[in-house]
Amino acid sequence: MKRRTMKLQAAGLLLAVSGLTALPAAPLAAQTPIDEMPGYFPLELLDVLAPEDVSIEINLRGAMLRMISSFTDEEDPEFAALVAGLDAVHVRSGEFDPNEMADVGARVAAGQRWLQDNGWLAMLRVRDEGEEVYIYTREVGVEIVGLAILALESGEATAINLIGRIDPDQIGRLAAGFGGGGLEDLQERLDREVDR
Amino acid sequence: MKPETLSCDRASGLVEACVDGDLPPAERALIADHAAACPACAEQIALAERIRAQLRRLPRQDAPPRVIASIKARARTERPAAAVDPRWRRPLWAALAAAVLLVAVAVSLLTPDRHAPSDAELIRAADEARYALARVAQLTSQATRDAGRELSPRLLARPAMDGLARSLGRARNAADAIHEDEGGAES
Repeated sequence: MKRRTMKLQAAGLLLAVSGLTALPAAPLAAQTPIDEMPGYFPLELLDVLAPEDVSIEINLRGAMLRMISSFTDEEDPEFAALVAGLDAVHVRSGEFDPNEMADVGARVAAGQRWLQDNGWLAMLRVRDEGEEVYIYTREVGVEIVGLAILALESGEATAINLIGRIDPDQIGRLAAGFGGGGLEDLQERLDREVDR
Repeated sequence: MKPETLSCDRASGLVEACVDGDLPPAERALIADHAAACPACAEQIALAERIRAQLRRLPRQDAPPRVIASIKARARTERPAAAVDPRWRRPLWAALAAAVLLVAVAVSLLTPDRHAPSDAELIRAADEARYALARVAQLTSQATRDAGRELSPRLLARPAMDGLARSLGRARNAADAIHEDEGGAES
């Protein structure tokens, strides 16, 4: 009887410690993987651009976005606030051979079908003089949790996916700060980093 | 006459006493023979020896005087507990030490390898984020400038879209400024 009691005490102690050990893992287990978030658009699966044609590829997720937000908070609080609400930023962009327009167009169409099949709303769909821009949003309630853009313009294809708390008003205000060649300056800076 | 052999169950029960030197030579020899033939029990014995060595390396600390006084007072008033086989007292402390080691290993395994990015890496990542957001704004402003036929009928009706409608107006101005610069650079 005493032996059984001692064994039970030891087993109980081990179980309690094992439970405490599992506690730090609980938050890790609770984080939703990016590809299971409602605002996720699998750019890499749809391959809008062939890998060799991609000249700009951006993949920013979770922890890095939080760090960016903290890092830029003092210098640009509005940008920091916008980034803080995002879970992921994915961009694929690059030029394609005009002879491949039909192929690229088919892949863009496949991307649109995926979005429509997965509950995304078409915000804007524009086809004008060889240029196509498709903007989709994913909503949960009245909140936009995903933004997907597919664009073909002058031999350049772009696919963008933003996941998280998206405030279009914030994006618009941010864009106002990129007038006067700011976007081109950014692109040149990113290209210089790649060439280094 | 066949020499006596131990089962794993029996050997497991004698491990602690063996490591503590509480077994007679004959039983120690039986344990040793069994461990030579049973890797699992040999590992258990090795673990018990490691735990014992680590416990003995822990610093000794004196109990506070009031704790000693409290124990003495209780000893005077309480009946002595029935004798417990000492071989079963040690496993509890060994289990505690093993659990502490388990926690330490688990924490080290569960803690992700956090590589803190350098300032240069953060600057580049911030530029990438700015570029992505600026492209979003540029593309949406271009689309609204060219749109006429395929606007979603729900665009202005849904409350969530009001912000987008306002922002597109602001983004259009920014995109116009970018395109004016492009035209100036080309001429």
